[in-house]
Amino acid sequence: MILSDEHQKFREKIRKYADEIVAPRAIELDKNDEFPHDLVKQMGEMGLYGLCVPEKYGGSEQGTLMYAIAVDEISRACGSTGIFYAAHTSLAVAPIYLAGNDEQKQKWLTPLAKGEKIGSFGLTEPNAGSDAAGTQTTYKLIDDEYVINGDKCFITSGHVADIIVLTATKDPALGYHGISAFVVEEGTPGFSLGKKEDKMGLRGSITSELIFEDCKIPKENLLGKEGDGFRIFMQTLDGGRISIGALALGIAQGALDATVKFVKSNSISGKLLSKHQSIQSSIAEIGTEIEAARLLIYQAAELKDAHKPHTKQAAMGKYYASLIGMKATNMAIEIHGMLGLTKKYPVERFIRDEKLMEIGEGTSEIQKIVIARQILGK
Amino acid sequence: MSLIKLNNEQKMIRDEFRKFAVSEIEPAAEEIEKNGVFPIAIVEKLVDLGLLGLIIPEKYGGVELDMTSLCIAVKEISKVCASIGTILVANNCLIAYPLMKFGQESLKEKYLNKLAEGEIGGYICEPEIDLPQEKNDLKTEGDNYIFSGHREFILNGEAANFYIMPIQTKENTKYFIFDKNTRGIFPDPKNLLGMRTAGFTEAEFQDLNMIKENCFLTDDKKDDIQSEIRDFSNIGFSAISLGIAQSALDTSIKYAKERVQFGRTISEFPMIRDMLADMKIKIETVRLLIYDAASRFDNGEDYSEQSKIARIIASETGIFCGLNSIQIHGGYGYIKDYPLERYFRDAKVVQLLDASPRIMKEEIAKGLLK
Repeated sequence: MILSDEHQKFREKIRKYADEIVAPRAIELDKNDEFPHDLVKQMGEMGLYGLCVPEKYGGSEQGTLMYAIAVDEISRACGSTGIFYAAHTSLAVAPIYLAGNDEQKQKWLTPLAKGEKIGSFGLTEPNAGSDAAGTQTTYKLIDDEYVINGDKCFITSGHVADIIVLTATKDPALGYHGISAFVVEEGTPGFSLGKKEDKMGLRGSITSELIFEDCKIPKENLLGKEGDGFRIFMQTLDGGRISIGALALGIAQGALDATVKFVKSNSISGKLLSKHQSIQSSIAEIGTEIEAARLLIYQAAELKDAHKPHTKQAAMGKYYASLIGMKATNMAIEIHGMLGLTKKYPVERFIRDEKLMEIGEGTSEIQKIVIARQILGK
Repeated sequence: MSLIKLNNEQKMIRDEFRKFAVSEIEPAAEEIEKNGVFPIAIVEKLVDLGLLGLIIPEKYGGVELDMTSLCIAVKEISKVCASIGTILVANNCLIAYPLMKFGQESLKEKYLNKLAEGEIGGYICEPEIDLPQEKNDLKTEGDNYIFSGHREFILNGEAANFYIMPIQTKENTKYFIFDKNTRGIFPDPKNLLGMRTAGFTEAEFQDLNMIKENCFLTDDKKDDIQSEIRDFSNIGFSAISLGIAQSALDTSIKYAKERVQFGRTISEFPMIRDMLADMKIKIETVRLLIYDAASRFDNGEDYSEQSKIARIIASETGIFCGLNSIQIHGGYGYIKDYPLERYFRDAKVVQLLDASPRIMKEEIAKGLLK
């Protein structure tokens, strides 16, 4: 595929921002577990959260391919900033856009798309991970209010979120038919924050436990109809996979770029590392796989923009990009040798960040099940 | 009959170290990882039990164990804390062994006894890339050597009472030994991806004065000291990877049997079972390779190629099992409440300590094509 001039120019613009503003912050964000409030604001001003949102709601509607390019470029500089961006956009902006009515969109989508508010997606629970339809968080309609009870975990940006899209069930025995999606605003009585997770990587992003105890929300906070929750989160995850694929891809590209810089500026026994055939062989392998992953992800994005089925391509893109991303980051460290284990180079951070991409928003095992179902039919 | 046959002494070592690891290290493992400092209290307990100078001859106050026993000890310790495994390997394989094999008697007397009494030796790794002259400058002055420069990786640096430093010269790689208090050493603690508590440092050296007697006596034409030390330490490092891999598997089996998704334990899902089986297959391969290399050494046979093969596969297996164990645990594998992410980070570090797989492969090929 060949990117249009418009896409190419956009890529260059984001790359410049990522190189000049985001990359220099990445080390400190990781080291100090610091959430990049300033970058989050800047990305909002640049319109990065509204790329798939109509102008009416504060977006620019430039499409998923634009968005995938942006995630790719931001993550190339900093995985933590990348995961915030991907989660906010694909998991909070997207479901409200997908399932919200006009009033809901005015109220929540617009500030999220403009970056005035931060969004989160509450799906995973202690006992509902890969089995996301096994949600045990319940809701009950009492006097025009929904009352929510339950715990959510591993929720990206939970502690800084203003708006949370949440799944809950009327009755766990109903299976996926019982699930509905809601919006809960920060500060709602009965909603509190649990612990912040201490993670291997993505340390500049926040991963939270959310606790709902008789949390009452207005009836108007239901997205779609009761029972639509499963469909809403499945569609959300289809799009989310494109973004996590792009994130995995960006980190892999970052690892390759760092390695190229290293091998062109260091020698062994007087010979530049880049002149060693075995190093060239590794670089060629990673480079090829990254290109292949990029094609898969961009293809999924184009299909989505064309309103064509993209479940298979999105799952393939995420599965493959995170797989080769682990290989790329691992190889990058190996080429750096012991120096690659130090904080003086970014590659040890890249591998810690990259590992989540095989887990978050559907593990690689789940992606394989999705892909196999698409290939084999029902 | 299994190829690996432990004698009674080796079985005793295994039981003793297993007991020590479980009762003394395990309860503290998380805490020392969090603090990231050299676990001196545990190392002192190892000393009290006489478990530190494992391969040092009795003549110098050591326990004089064979390599197979050292591997068993390192594996048992590393199952619980790979950082302490690294401390053991550095002290035995990179400090004691070079002294035993290449040091002159006066150095053996002095330093092997110190090691057996519980002193720690720091091993200053050779740089892997070319350094500018000012960062790597060895001069002779009369009978003495003067070194100025920078070294990025010192194993056991934080607790070292003395150091061994190989320096490549035009003729060969020279090994120097000097005390911590020698003038001209400026160490800094070092934080790596993993092995947070192994006490790595880096250091600047300014006009470090090393007397000729503190350089291992070598035939000037001989350049195989370094490769022999690396071959030997490869086996030790392999045992660390094996320990990590085994723990990653054990923890994953336990979790797979407990974790319920889609109405059944995840141990019932073929993809999870495959991952567990793959881990086991690699671990058993590694076990055979390590004990083969170790017993070759113990029997005085050539073990050079086997030690490299063992280390390459062992370190890949450590990483593989670390990553798979994270994957099986999902989100829980990615957070520090569980030990899996530490297993992976430690496994990645041990792969690259002092010798890279790329160079080892090149040496294996060289041997094949000789």
